[in-house]
Amino acid sequence: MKGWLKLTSAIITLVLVFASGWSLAHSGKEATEPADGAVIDASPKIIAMSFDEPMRITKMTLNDSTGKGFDLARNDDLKPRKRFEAVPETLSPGRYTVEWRGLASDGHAMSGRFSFQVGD
Amino acid sequence: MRALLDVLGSTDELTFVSIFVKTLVYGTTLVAAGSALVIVSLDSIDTVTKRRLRWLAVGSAVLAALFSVSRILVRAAFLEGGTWAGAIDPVLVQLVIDSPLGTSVALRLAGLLLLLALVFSGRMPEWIAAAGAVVVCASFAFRGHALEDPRVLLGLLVSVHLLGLSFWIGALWPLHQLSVRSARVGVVASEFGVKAVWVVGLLAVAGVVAFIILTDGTLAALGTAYGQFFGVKLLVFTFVLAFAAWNKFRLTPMLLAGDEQAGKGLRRSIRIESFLITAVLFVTAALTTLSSPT
Repeated sequence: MKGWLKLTSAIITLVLVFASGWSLAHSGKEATEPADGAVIDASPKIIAMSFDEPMRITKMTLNDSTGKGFDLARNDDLKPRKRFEAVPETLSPGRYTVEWRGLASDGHAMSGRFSFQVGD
Repeated sequence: MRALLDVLGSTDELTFVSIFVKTLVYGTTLVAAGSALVIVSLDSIDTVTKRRLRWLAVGSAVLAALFSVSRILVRAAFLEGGTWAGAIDPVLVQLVIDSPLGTSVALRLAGLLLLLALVFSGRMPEWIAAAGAVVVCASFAFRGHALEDPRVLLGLLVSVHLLGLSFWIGALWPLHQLSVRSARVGVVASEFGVKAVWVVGLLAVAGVVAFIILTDGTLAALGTAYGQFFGVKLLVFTFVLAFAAWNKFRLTPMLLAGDEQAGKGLRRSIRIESFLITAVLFVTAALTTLSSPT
């Protein structure tokens, strides 16, 4: 039984190690606005993402470093788009993280995140 | 170990559930389809084993249907941000049903329904179930990377690959059963060994050609996550092949000669094969969820 457990652990470990950092591999995300890691002077007017294939964004959240959520206005009606845009409320200086989920045209479920900072 | 903890930390609970459910879908579907294929293609199987195999196929088909439908709900929950509220959100559930995953599940359910013909005995229900096995294997070609160009060829390759795998999986349980209680196990193992050579060959060729097409046939693919995943799968598959070869060339002649120890050896070998095939299904489920060929 011990041998089976070791073999199982080895295979699961191998898979998960290979999988490290792959969670965005399906997304095909080409660019974000603001760019990931960007430092911007003022609150962004829009938050946008560009994809190489049409993507249906099903969920998008914007949080600050304390985990507080901020509203995002969107008018895509859950339609697939190569460029997705949402308008945030005015953001005060600080670090923000955008997280999203989506459905690609080939049926794959996608997810991703990016961060930016408002002010120094 | 650190990489493992990093991944465990960054992968959400629902992704693990998704991989687990996908593995269950693969396993139950292939057992159901494979049992039907073995019933129609292995003439040496006795009526008692055949009857048990019919019920194994029916039970597995019911479970496969439940797990396949669960995949739609799990997908909707993922799209809602990883909360179970998505699984009961009619808009998101409909979105998934309208996606290629929905088409694939609908086709699979139709195939599984045909497999239920095995509740009746007779040649006609067996052939209806075999047609169901073809449909359920083809259903996996209606989603994901199999939809890339050249779509028809990739669809055929995926279907052939899964049909071969299901036949192989379908033979494991009856061989295991027969090795416990029947002197006929050698005859059945011998017939399976002859047919499996062709089936496994086709399975392997279809898998490798599909990989080459999906990765444009470049050696660079081996440096990608998807290529490395393929390597892991190939490595485990090689071990399975080694056990299959051991069964065919060493144990089957011993079984035909009436060696009692050979039955014990066959059961051990089948248990290891089953475990390794489960590992292959898990690897496939995990890495088709977390990686991409392009």
